[in-house]
Amino acid sequence: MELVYYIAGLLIALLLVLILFFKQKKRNKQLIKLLGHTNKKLERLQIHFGRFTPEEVIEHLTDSDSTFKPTLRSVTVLFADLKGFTKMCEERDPVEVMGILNGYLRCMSEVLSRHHGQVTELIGDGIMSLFGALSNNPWQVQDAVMAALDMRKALQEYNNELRSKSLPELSFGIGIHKGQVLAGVMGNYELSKFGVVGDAINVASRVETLTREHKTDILVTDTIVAELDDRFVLKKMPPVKVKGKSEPIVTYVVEKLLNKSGT
Amino acid sequence: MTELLNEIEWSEPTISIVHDKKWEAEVKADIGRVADVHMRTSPSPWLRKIILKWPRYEAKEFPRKLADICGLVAAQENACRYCFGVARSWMRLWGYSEKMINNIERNVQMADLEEKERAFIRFCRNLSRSNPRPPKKDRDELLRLGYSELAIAEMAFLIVNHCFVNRVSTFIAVPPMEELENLPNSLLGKALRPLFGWKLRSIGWTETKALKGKPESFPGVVQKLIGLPAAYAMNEALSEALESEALSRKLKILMFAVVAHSLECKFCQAETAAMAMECGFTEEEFNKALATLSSPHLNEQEEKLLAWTRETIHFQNAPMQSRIRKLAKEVGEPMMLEAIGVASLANSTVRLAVLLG
Repeated sequence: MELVYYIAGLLIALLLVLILFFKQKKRNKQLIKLLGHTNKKLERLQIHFGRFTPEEVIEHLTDSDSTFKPTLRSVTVLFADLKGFTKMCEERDPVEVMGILNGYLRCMSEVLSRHHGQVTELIGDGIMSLFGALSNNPWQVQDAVMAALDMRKALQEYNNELRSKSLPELSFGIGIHKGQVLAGVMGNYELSKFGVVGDAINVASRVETLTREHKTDILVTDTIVAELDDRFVLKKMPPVKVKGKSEPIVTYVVEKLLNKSGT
Repeated sequence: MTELLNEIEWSEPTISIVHDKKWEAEVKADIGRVADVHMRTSPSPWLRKIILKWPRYEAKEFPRKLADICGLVAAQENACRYCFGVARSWMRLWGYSEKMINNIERNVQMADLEEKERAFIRFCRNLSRSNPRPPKKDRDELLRLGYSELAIAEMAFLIVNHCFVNRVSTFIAVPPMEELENLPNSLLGKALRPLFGWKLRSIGWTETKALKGKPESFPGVVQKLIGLPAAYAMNEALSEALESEALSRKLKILMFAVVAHSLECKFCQAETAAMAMECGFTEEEFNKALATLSSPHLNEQEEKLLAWTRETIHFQNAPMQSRIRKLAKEVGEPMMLEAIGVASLANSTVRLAVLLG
């Protein structure tokens, strides 16, 4: 009789272990499913987040514990702004203007990314792009000027497209300057963004506005010229005093880039 | 975010197959079969030799399990579809479970591993990662956990060795080995797994020659590997790559310098500057070439390859493969193949120097 109780006890214990085993197995399956779901969600979030902030910043924030605290870096700043855009907004249908603007921003962002520039801010029709702000880039000045020359070409192509659709053509001004800035994630716990602070930003912006005065499209400062070689054809412009600066700023028009055969 | 096997972008090959019967016979005698990658790299004698040997390097100073995992982690981190597929299949054939491989791929915390092994995987991921430059603190962590200096040097070599093969395979866009990838899950693969595993182990490669005399190129890097078979392997690769005549020595030195400059490796910057002076650059010419990626010592095609070299540090597969296809048409496939080898070797050498220097 004792043996029967013993076997029955053993069977019950075995049954309990089996129940627990299958329960745990089911739970594991649920957890794996949940993990997969969470991973997909995270990927989606990363893709959407990528539209608001440079990809390198996202990688940095997701792959490490650091918060990308602002650090002092030598950065090349490129400002691009459309000329006559406000007038266009007043005269044309906002939906049409939005379509033209989105097309323009897409073309310019592609060119900037190709030349290692990070599009950091879109302010209406204005673009602020940084070179060397997120990682070491010894060729940042050359990259920025080559990007500007390619933006000129891309704008010509985009204008051909606009002309074929009987839409108004665009023209822009670009200002480029290099200097020390604080670059990193700024803001508070509730609202933060990747940004840059420093006089170089103001100078690049002022140089961009000078393109109207000098009736040209691409202007660079002498800090930029000091790092360019003789393949870049430049034209010196007269010094001009700008808002917020005690000394007049000397700028150069970037005319073209010569190839190996000098043409 | 680290990608899984089927999420990796991959295009058609950028470099064509070139049949070299003598070379193919040599490969067959060594490993039993000629893979696609051996035919695509065949026009470059030094490159094809590394591609044949380095992926089979057998580590001496640390456990085989970690060396096995290293190939998988590096291929995943570098998003090399070809190498990832091969590493995964090899691991399955060596007897690692699908579950363990999945856990290493998705989240190392879930894998059944010890703290020392997890630290190694972190080291492996960070050194393989194309951006930013490898952190030294990972190496210090391994020392703290009890690995010897020599073991860490060998780990670092094994990782950059895989990174080299990953880069070459990605730049060429070597087609994935579907037959091998399907083998572990096939009936034949399941039935004969131990046999396949044993066969794979039997083709492991150890460099038996010891390094004699002082290394000529990048001595600071090679010397850190002395005591390991890797020292001879690394020295031989560097010497043969720099001596090869498919690209000018001046261009190759500038390619190494561009990577060193980008990754801010002081040692390699000084080394490449000294090498440049030896081969006819003045200091001013060298600095100007490095600053502008252009030099009177280079022709137009060489300048294109030099400008491309900086793209090899941090890249995405699809744009990179399409750029190489276009560039190969402009400079010709033999030059492109050689440049792929040199740029990949430069990336591996500089990363090793940053970490061990």
